[in-house]
Amino acid sequence: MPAPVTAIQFEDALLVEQCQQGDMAAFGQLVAKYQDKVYNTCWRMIGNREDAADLTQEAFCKALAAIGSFQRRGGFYTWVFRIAVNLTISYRQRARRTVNLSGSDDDEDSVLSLENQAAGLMRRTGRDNPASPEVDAHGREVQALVAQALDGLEDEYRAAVVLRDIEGFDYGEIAEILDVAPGTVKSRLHRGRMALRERLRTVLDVAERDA
Amino acid sequence: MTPDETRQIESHFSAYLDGELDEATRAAVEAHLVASPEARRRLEELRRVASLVGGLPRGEAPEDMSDAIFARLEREELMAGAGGVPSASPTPPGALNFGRLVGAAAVLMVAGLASYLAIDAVQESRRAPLQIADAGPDARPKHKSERTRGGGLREESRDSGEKAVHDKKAPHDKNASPGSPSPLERTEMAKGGVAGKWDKTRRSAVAPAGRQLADRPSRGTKQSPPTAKPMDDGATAMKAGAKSEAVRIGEREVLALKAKSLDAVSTAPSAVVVRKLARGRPTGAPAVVKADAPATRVAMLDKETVEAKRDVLQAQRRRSGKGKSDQDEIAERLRKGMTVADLETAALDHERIRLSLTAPDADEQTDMAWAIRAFLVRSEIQDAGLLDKSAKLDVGRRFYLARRSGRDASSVDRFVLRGTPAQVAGLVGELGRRAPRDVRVALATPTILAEGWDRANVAAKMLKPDQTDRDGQAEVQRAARAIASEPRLNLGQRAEAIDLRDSLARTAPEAKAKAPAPQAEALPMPVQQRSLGETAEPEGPAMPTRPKFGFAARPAKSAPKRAGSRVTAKGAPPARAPKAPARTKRAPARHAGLAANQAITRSLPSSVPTSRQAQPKAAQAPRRGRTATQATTRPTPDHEDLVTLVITLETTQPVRGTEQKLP
Repeated sequence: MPAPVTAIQFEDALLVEQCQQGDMAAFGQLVAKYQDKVYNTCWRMIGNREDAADLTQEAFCKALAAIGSFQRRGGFYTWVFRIAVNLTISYRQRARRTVNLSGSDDDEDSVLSLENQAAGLMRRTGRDNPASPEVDAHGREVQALVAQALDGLEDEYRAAVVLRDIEGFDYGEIAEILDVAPGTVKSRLHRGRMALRERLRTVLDVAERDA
Repeated sequence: MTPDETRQIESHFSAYLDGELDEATRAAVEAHLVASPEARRRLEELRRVASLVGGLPRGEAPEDMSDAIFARLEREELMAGAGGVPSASPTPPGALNFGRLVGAAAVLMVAGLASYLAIDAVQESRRAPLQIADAGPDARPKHKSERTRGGGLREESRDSGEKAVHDKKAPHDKNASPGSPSPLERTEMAKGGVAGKWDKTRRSAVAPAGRQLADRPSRGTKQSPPTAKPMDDGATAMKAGAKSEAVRIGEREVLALKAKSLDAVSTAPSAVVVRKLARGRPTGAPAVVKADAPATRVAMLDKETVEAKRDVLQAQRRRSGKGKSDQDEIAERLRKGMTVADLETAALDHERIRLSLTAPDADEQTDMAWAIRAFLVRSEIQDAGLLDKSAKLDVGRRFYLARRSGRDASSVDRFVLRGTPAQVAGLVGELGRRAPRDVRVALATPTILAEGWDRANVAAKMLKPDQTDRDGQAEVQRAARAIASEPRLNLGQRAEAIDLRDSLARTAPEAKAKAPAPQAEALPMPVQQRSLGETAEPEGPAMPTRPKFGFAARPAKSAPKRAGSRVTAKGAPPARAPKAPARTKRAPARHAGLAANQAITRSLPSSVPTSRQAQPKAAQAPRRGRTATQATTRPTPDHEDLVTLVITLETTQPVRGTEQKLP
């Protein structure tokens, strides 16, 4: 029995159909709808904002190029994520073959993202965030450690963890995106979390002690 | 329970947390949890891990993501048509695809040649009757179909007053159907075409129901007369009447576009036209050249623009005192200079530019990197401290380290800097001029290719601080008037033009009476609220409806970036926080090799502008509705108008560690 079609899937299907008929505005709507999610996934997969933006662009470009052959069995949502995840994995594999002697990309991010710095200042001074600077600094430090640990995971584990814990896909959708069996998703996710647990041992111990 | 059984049951913990277990397994897991406090602790840790990962801050796509996507689509389409090979596999953004760069460079060259050919065509048309469509047999092929030199069969068909150009050899069209637009056409459509308007502020696209691409007239392409097809807005109507002409220049046969209005030219992405023509699709393309097999040349300048350009070039020739003929001078100028001017134009027209240079080897790359650094030191570009780390690291040392380590080196230098448009234009232009023959320069901003040529002239004029002779003054004045009368310029550009005009008026009081009133002060509503076809009614003396020295309008997409720059009753916008912290001091030279930098700097030609030289009068003066009096008291540029330039420098032959293992 086929899974029931949700309203989102129905809306996407309509947009995809319009896009296949040449209505580019429909594709624009799809881009506007999912660009943040795809971008965030790419960012968490490769850890660099600028590269994530480029890969997001490429994912949508590839999606448009292949929109004519898109089968409506799955959703556009999972399809474009599949493209994006494959791109990020390929990108990381290519990047590993050369050594970057010029410094980490995070430096570039931190230098370039003046807006982020400004946003951070706003957050810290905002009324909606009563946390003290110490708490805020600690939180950012923990986030940096988590991001670093995530970045150290193997690609297949990281993809599963990002798609589940950050993007909130269910196992079936993750299986569709990664083109693996649901059981494989289950084991990858578990192994990924176990690996993260070991990498974040210090953080977890501190949290347990504080609790 | 054995350790294996424990491990087996705990392998379901993640799925248990996610609620993805069936009833039986879930019951088994819960039974194990009840029995084992250690298992509960491990489960809690997994829960915390998932919570920590889920609590990472979410990144939002850059604001211009959708624009960038459609620009990328356009570029890839263009690359495919210009001979480049679109990458089938993902390319790390830092390592640019050589094929694309070559394609972009080729398009720039084609566009430069096209201008030359267009000028030549217009000169011929001056000798011949103006209506090229009725020109003599040598100027236009009579047959409705003829075999091109490249072997393709080109047909001209007339249907409802429209002329379409077909190329039966076009391999890209095998799967194309009339109702199936290419990605490029879709791109153009989504970027603000008639059928689908891209609403950037809402980050969504709004498409009139039922409108499909087939209904949309292509930008800048030959349209049927307004009576034959209802025009959607004023801008589209202005495009009507674009004509193509066939001329023979030497052994080449050229079809050149002549548009009635500059809008029809400037809003028609030349990249799009080149692409369409290269494919020879029956899209109603205005002009096609299928002369020599390896090259596709397109001319798409209107008569007035070409005339204005020719006047400028002739004036320059007179000033230079060279004895060359007009034709030789123009040809030489266009061949050598227009690419640079186009780069400069881009620098003036975009808030963020990506410039890619591909050197044939590491040595050339090193030279270019030094040249860039030298320029930065000399020109004192603000925020040069934003240089990427890779630029700070000595290039030679990087390669040395790569060889020593025996591993391949990432051979990409990336510079990130911010400067005034004039400063950035100076740097970009300098790079274009200094680039050796083997260094390929390409802008990765595809819309640059879509801008009108004569903006480059305006830019070039405005960049020249020593423009004192009468010809130059007149041209600048004409350009300034054109800018001031252009309703779609943003406030910064308009104020810049107004300042320039005022400064000229001070030097020539008699010109003041003739100059139009500043429109920025008379705008009844923000510029970005105007529709494409809407024109502003100047309060001053009547302006010519079509300035001879037209100024291509900035695309409407830039308007949202200026959100908030509303004109108040007095014409002054409200104060805003600058985008980036201003650095007024000279950027410290943090990297090694400063002495070498300075040596190179000293050896640079005097044409390299310093920060002050690089700024035109208007750029040195404050913008956005300030009066001329204010301009003299506060000569610092508005940081809002700073341009970000990202230069990626790479070589086609990266240093490989296996090539030379150093001790």
